[in-house]
Amino acid sequence: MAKARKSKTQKNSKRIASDHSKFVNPKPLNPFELKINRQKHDILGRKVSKHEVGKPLQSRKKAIKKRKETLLVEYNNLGKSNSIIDRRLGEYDRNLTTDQKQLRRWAKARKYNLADSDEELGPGETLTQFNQASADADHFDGFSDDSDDGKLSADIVAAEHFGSGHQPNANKQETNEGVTSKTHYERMQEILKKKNEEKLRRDIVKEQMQTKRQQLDEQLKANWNRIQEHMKGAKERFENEELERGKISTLKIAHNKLLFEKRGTPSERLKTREQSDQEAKERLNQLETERLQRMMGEITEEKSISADALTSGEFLDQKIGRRNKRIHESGNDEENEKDGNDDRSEDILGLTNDNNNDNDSNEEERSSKSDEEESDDLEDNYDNDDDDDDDLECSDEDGNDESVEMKVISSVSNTKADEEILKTEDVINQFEKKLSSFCELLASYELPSSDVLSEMTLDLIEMGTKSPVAAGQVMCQMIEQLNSMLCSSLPRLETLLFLKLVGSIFPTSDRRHPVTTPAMLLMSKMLNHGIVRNCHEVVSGLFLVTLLLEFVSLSMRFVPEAINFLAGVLFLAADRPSDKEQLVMLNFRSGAKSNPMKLTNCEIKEIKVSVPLNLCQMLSTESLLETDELRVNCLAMCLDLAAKYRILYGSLPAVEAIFAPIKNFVEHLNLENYPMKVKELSENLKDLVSQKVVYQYLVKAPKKPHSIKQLEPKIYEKFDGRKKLVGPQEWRDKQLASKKCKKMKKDAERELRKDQRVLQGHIIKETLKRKMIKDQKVKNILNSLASQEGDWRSMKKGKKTDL
Amino acid sequence: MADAQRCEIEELVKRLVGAGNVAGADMTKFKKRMKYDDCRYYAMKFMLVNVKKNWKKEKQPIVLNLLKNLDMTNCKDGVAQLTKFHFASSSAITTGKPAKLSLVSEHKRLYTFIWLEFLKAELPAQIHKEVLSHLPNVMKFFTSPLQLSDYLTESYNQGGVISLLALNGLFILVNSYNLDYPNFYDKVYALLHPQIFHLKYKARFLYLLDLFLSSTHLSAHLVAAFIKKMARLLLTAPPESLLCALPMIRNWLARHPACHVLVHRPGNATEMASDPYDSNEADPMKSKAMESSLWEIKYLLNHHYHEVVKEVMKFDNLSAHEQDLSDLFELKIEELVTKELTKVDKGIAFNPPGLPQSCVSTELWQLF
Repeated sequence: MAKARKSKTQKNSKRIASDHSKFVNPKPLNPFELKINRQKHDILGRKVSKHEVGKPLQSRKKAIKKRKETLLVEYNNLGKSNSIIDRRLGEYDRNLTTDQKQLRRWAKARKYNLADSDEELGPGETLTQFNQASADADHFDGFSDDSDDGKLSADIVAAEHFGSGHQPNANKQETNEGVTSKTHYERMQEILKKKNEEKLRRDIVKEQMQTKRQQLDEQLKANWNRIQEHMKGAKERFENEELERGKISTLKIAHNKLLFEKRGTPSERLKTREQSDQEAKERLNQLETERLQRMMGEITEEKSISADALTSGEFLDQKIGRRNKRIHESGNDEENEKDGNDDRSEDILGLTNDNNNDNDSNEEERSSKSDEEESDDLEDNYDNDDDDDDDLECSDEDGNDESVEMKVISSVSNTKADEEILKTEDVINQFEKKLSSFCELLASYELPSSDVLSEMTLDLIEMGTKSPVAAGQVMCQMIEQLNSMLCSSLPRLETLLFLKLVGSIFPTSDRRHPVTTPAMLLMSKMLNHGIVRNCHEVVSGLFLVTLLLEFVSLSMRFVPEAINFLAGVLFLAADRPSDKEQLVMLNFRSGAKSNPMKLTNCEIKEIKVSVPLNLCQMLSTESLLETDELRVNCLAMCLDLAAKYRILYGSLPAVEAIFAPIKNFVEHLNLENYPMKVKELSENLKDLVSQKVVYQYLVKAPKKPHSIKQLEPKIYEKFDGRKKLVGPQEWRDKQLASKKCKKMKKDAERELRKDQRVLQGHIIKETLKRKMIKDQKVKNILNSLASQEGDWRSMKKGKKTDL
Repeated sequence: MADAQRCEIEELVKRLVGAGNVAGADMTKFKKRMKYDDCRYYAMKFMLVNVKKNWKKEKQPIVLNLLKNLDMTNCKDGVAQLTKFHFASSSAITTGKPAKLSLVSEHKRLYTFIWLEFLKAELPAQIHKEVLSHLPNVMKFFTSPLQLSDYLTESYNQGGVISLLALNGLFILVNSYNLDYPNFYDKVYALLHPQIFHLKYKARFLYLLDLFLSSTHLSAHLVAAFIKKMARLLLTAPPESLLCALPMIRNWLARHPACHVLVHRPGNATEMASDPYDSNEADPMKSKAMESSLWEIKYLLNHHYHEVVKEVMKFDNLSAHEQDLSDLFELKIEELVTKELTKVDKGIAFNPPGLPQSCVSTELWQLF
């Protein structure tokens, strides 16, 4: 049995060895040098390991050899900064004898010396070339050719070279030396002449070509101008035609655009009103949920909204508002007629509806607001009545509002293609230009009419919502600019309206937004650092506070600066310097000498508290008059805002602590002379502020208990006999990496150990060798000493015997 | 010989005080000379004589500047004799018996006397503040820093920013020189006022506050009172202060695990009718802070700035490690704005038309 196995392994090994030897080693391997990892059983499906056969002796030998070549060399060179390398000629050539080496060296030296002093030749030395004295070369005539390319023409070569032409000359040379030399000279002269002639001819041709080309160039140049002029004229004519055509019917073009817009195949069923309603509602719901998600800060990357959603801005176009009002009055609810089948038109009209609510007179606002409250916020904008055609007719009726209508239509027809046309660079420039001109207008001494301003704002918002990236970039630049400025006073009109623009283009409820977050920080900075010196700054601050309220009204975020500012204004109104300690912000202190909120006149009961306040009028540089009316209005506004904030934060804990200073100031407010409206507001605020809140203890969310590890059978889905890492990808990668690292470390340690072993072996060998030599020497010395001693003794003996 | 040198220095000081110019060629020369022990000695002698009598009130800024520039770094504790001389003759004197000019104790004595003389005069608020913020750096060069305790205590009693700055010096005295100063922490506690976050010295105050409360041996009740008070102040603080103060409170909690009840109080009682903590109580130990809870933090979860919310979120799992605050003390809101101005890219969210929007500003204001 054992024998049989042995023979089998031997066979196996032989086969492998022969296979191997075919490629690598011609020398047959000793079968006893092989280590074979034999498999006891053949298992189906199991991978055969890579290392069935190993050659331990060979690999060891190889490794040692490699170490000797690298490690030992290094060891031997240890501590040696340099070594002498013998570079003498033939030093390492084993085939040469010493004499031969010497001869070579001598020859080389001789050559070198000759090269060094080639002018002064020693006696008896001549320079040779191919065993002929180079002094004889004077007779050589050289090449007669001096053509450009340094080559002779073919016929000359054929005639003169390689003995063919020389043959007769050579014969003549033998007979008469003088004649031959002369004839040779003549012939050479001839050749030269010919050559020169040819060269001249070539040059002439070249020159002719050159002049011709120049002439042609000039002609073309002269014509080119004419051609260009011609083309330009054609283009202009073409453009003019285009323009004229455009002038005639921009409306028609827009109409056509709408008509030819891709809408689906005619065979499809038209969407019913309910369906389109449903779709619009769904889309809005979707947008709302996205907004909510951003507000909660749950999604990190914000989805871009499709170009379908891109339409005009949302606030105050007075004209549209007015127009809608008119339509409203006609009683048909025509404002919604445009909705039809088109989602986008619905958006706009919804919007204009909103605008209407926002911007019209007070009563209108109230009524539309109550409408809103009745029905769902999202739904109420979407009742449809009529078709597109009716809408267009209607627009025709409103003759003077055609431009507005155009705008609406153009925004309706805003497709993705339009979006592409507006290249970002261009749009950025345009937007920047518009924004800066807007701001300049606002900062100028004389304000333009409100129509112009509202038109501009609407334009800006429209543009901003169409290309939010460009708007965002420009606004970021603006914010950066404002941020770098010193902020010792509250902002002026242009900044305030810029911030309002930010709020109407970008969502303010987001947890983090590249434009609105810095804008809000900027506002907070303005409120914190701006010093309140006069009534206008109070107005500016109050507007900022209003804006902040608008920004956080959806997200219910907390803005301490706003509350602090309101408290400050109330402090000024209460006019009790002793309460200064309760104030949070210091920027109300410096103005305390001339209190901006202090009334100058006592007869103010008749003053009418007007809402809304006109911002431009109050902040424009024209009207710097500080009147009691303004002060009363400011106080009323402040009270109103405080109440609004209190209602907004009502659900939050800690509202009591935050409103404590406001509560204090309101109670100390002396309202005897103020109009009724102010008194009402303050009473309202007092009621709100005195509401009690319940505090809750902080308790952390209970931790999930860790389950105790239990002994359970391990179940593999697919068993292949190997361990598999189960866990998250990251963890697995880490495990694999650490395993690999461990393995590599182990390998490296093993290599180091082997290195050490080879080195130690070498060292011990060296030491032993040295010891042996030393022993030998000592032995020799001792031997010689012994023999000396013997000699001496024998001499002594001899002497003795002699004696 | 020595007289000539002395005259030179005296002339220099006289010129400086006469001109009253804080910057200039003379000042730089003075600064250079003051590194040498002998020059400083002459200058100090001259100043000591004059500061009492001749120099009047309007000269105070320049005198303070001179005082600040007296470079005493050579006078360390372990050294008895000084060797860095500008004039060769001074060192010649020292070869024999050690002269006054080379004795550290003599230098310190002079230095202390000048300062004390200077502080005796009535100082305007601005100079007072400057002195108080400079004193902690030079206290160690006094023969006995405890001599300053009267001045510092008085300054503390003035209130406002000055008492805040005085606290720094007092703390050094208490900490390193065994000054017996009762109710130190009560006084620090009294300084906690909503306005501190709007002061110019905000960073310094926060730094000092953190320093004062760095000991782990303070009573938990005291620390809890500080935490509560601080949290209360944060309700009205600007965002940049919040970003510094919130990690600070976390650090305090990490230092004092007993205060963890403030953020986690397991039990049946989940509500309190009113906060047991009394923020108006002057004595922190009696403010019942431990019975309360840190509900202010929960409130800040709704702050408009998202970084603040992130900081508040960290209160959920407090780590035992403290956070380094050194970068946060000097934080400015401008930096926050620049940090927020990230790149505007394609995915920027904007107001899709049709969504309901708040219209408070158009309700209350007519824009044009």
